[in-house]
Amino acid sequence: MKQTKELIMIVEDDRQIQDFIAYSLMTAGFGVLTAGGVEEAMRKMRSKKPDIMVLDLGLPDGDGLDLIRRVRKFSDIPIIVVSARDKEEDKIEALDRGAEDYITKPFSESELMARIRVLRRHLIREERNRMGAEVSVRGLKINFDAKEVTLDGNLLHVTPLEYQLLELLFHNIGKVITTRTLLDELYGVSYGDNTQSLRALMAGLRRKIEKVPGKPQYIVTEIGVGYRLKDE
Amino acid sequence: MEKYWKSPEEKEDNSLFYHIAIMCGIFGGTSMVAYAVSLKLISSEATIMLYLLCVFLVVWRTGRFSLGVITSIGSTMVYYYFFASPKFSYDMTTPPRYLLTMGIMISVALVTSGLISQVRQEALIAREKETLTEQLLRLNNDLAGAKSAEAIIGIALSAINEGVGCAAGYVAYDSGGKPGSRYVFQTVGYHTALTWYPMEEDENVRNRIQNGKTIFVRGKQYYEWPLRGHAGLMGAIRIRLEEQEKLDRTQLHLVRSIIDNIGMALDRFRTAELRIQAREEATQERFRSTLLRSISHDIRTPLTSISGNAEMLMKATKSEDYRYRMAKNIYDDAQNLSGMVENVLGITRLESGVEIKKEVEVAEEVIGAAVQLTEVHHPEYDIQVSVPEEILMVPMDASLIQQAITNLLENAIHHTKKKDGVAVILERKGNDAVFTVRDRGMGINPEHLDRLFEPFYQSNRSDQVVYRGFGLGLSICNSIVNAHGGRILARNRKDASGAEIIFTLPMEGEQ
Repeated sequence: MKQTKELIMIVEDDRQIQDFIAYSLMTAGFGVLTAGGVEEAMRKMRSKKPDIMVLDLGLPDGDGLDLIRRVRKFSDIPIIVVSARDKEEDKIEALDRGAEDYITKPFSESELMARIRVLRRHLIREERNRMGAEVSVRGLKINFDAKEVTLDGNLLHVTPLEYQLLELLFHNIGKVITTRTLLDELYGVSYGDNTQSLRALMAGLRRKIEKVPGKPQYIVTEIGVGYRLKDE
Repeated sequence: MEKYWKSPEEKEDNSLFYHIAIMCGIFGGTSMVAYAVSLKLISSEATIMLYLLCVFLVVWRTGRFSLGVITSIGSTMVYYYFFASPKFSYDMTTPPRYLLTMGIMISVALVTSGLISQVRQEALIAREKETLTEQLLRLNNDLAGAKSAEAIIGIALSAINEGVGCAAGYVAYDSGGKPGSRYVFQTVGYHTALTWYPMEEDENVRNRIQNGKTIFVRGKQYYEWPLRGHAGLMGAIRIRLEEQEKLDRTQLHLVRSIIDNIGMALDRFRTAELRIQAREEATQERFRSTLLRSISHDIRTPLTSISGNAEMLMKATKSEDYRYRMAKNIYDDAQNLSGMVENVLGITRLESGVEIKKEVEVAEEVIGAAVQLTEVHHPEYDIQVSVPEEILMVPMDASLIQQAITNLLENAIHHTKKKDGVAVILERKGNDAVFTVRDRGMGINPEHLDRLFEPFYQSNRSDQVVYRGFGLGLSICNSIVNAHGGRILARNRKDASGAEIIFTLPMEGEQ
C-alpha cells in the first residue's frame, strides 16, 4: 500500500509555472517529478515511471504533440496538456493523439487539482478493472447493464442515440471528450459532417436532464473542443 | 537626345542646276572616251554602248528621267554625226536607224530611272524602318530604367516631342473611366517643362474613349490617345489638333508605336507594383500574427503563475489576516490583466479583417459556456438564464460570441451588487436570435448611451469600484456582433433599475 499518492511528472519549461504546479501537487500529497523539455521527459519516463503527466504544449525543444506520440508507443500514462487559449487545434490534436484532458493558461490551482482528481479516479477504476454496473453523479445515474438512465430516482426516457452519448460521457466522466471522438463513436467515420446533428442531440438531451438547459450543471460545453460530464 | 527622325522637308532636294551639271559632265566625259577609243579601234558598237552607259549613269546620278531623255537624244545625235559613217554628217537616207537607236536609248533611260527610283524608295523605307526600330529600342531602354509611373509618362512625352516635334500631354483616368481633375502638358522652349492644367469636362470625348473603337479620339483642343492596360483604361496622351494634323503617315506611325510601348510599360509597371504591395501585405500579416502569438504566450505564462501563486497564498492565509487581502488583490489584478489581454488580442484579431468562420451552433450552448466561465471567476454570483422552448440553431463563430457574451456578463457584474441580479435571455424574433444581458445597477447615463461601444470609452463612476480595464470590452462586442452581420444596442431597463444590452444574430432560413 503506497504511503504517498501517485507520482506526477511536470513537463514545463517555464520555471515559475513549474514551481507553482509542483507546489500545488506536493501540498496535495503527490510525488512530483519535473522535466524542462521533451528529451528530459522521455528519459525520466523510462527511468522513474511516473503515474500522471502534466505537459505544456508550448515547449521549446520539440513538439509537445510529438512527445505524446512517442510516449503512447509504450505507455498509457494519463496526460493533461497545458495550453494557451485560442489554440484549439493544438488541444484537439493533443486529445486525439492520446492526451486525456487539457487546461488553459491562465489557470487556477483549483482547476488543475480538479483535473488531476478526475484522472486519479479513472486510474483507480482501471486498477480495480471495473467501472461498476452503475455510475452516478449528483442525482444522474446510469446503469450500463440495464441501459437505463435515472434522474433523482425517476426513469428518463432517452432515445438510443441519447443513451449512447450519455454512456460515452459517463465512461469518460470528468474528462473532456472531443467533438470528433463523439462524432466518430455515435455516427461512425462517415462522409459528411454531422456536427450539427450532434449539437441538436446534445441540446435535446440537456432539456431532459438539466434544470436550466441554458445553464448546464452536468454536461458542460468546452467551446471549440468538445464536452465534459462534470463529476464534482 | 538626337532627333528621332528627319522630317521629310529635309530629304535630299538638290537643285536642278546641279543635276544638269552632272549630266553635262558625264556626257562630256563619255564623248572624250569615245573619241579616244575611236582613234584606236574602228568598232562602232563599242562607242554606241559607251553612250548607252552614259545615259544609264546620268539617270542614276540625277534620278531624273527628263535628263535621261535629253542625254539619249544628245547621244544619238552626237554618235551618228561624229562617229558613225559617214563621219561628220548626217546620213538622212536611213532615218529609222537613228530613231531605233534613240528609241532604245530612251527606253533604257526610262527603265533605269524607274529602277533607280524604286531602289531609292525601298532604301528609304528600309532606312525608315531601321530608324524606327532603333528609336523604339532606345525608348524601351529608357523605359526599363523608369522608377515611377510619372517617369514613364515623362519619357513618353519627350519621345513624342523629339520624334515628331509635337508637344504632348497626359491625363490619368481612374478605374471608373473618369479622367482626373488635372492634366499635364509640355511647354517646349529652351528647356522643356511640364505644366499642370485643369481638365475640361467633355462627356462626348470620354464616351468615345471608353468605347475603345479608335486609336485616337478627336476632342475640341486635342487628339486623345487612350492607354489601356490589363485592368482597363489608365490614361490618355494628348496632342494638339493643329500639330498632329501636320504629321505625315510615317510620323503618325511613330507616334502610335511610341504610345503602344508606353501603354505596355505603364501596365507592366502597375502590375509589378501591385505584386510588391500584395507581398508586403502578406509579410505584414505574417509578422502581425507571429507577434500576436508570442504576446499571447509570453503574457499568459507569467499571469498563470502570478494568479496561481496568489491563489495559493490566499489558501494558506486566514481571511482575517491582512496578508490574505494582499494576496486577494494580487489575484484580482492578475484576473483583470488576463481579461485585458484577451480583449486586446480580440480587437487586433478582428481588425486584421479576417473573415470569421461561421458554423451553425446551438445558441443556448454558447450562452451556457459563457455563463459557466463567468461563474468560475465570480462564484458568488448566480447568473439567471432563460431560453425559449425551441432550440435555436444560429450560424456563428462560437468562440467569438462566447467572448462577446462573457464581456457583457463581466460588464453587468461590475454594475450589479445584487448576486442574482445578472440575467441572460435568449429569444427568437422573426429570423433573428436575440440575446439580452441585464444588470441591476444604476443604469446608463443617457448622455453616454451612443458612446458606450466606442473603444477605450469608460464611464467614470465614482460610486462604483473603479473597473480597471482599457474600456475595450464593449467595443469588442460591437466588433464581433457587426462582423456577424448583427446589431447591438444598449438601453436602460423599463421593468427595473439597471441596464440591458441587446444584440441580434441573423439565423438562416428554416433548417
